Amino acid sequence: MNTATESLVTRYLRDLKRALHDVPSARRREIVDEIREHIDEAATSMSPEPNEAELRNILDQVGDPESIAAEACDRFGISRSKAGSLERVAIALLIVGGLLLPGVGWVIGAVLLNLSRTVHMVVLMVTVTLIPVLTAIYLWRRAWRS
Amino acid sequence: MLHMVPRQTEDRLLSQMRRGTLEYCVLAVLRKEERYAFDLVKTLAEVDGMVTSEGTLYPLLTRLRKDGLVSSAWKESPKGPPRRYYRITAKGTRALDDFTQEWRRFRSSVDDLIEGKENR
Repeated sequence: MNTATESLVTRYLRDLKRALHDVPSARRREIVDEIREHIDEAATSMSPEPNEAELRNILDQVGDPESIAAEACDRFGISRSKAGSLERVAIALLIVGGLLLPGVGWVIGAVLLNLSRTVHMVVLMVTVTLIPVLTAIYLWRRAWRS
Repeated sequence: MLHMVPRQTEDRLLSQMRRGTLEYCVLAVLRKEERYAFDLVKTLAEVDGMVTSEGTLYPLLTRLRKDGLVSSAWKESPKGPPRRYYRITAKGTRALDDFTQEWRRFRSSVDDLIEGKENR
């Protein structure tokens, strides 16, 4: 596989791993490993090697990571979690901590959010960078007014 | 068009019926011979209405292995890297036999009801 198709697979497997966050890690590893083998086999059985569109087609047949995760939770009797208490504490700390304990609260919140496997990377980046910026603007304006 | 089952209802119906039967379909495919994982998944995915996507079969295979109904092992392949093979275990064969009996009874009861042949 070339770098473009390889990064498609890498991204797919990363999404799959993330979607399977509720599944115990040993089982998660088995499922991800076997799906990786499946994709490799589908790709290597093609000649010439698949281009990007063909690889997308292979991944489509393998299926949406969320539906694979739903199936896994169903088969293993696990209820799927949405944002849990860890995430709520993290986001609260980012907001409140940023105001009350400039620096420290924000760092703890960012670390907690990073530990979480449910919050999507984009949400994480936005929260982690925006909140201190907004807090700084707010504090600066308040200081300027008084 | 009026008589067509709406797509969503059809999907839900299929997924409810699949829930209890899919694992035995896997066992049935393996009863004849051990199968290379990729091949096994492709075979089942080609059966109409059997799976929504190839990937959804892997959690089921993992579950069946955990329950000791199937086992998997790496085997050398004539060309390319070693491959993961699945085979049915004695416990799996017993489970399939039990299911087959129940399924036949259940299926004929449902058929009778649908065709209006119930004994009344």
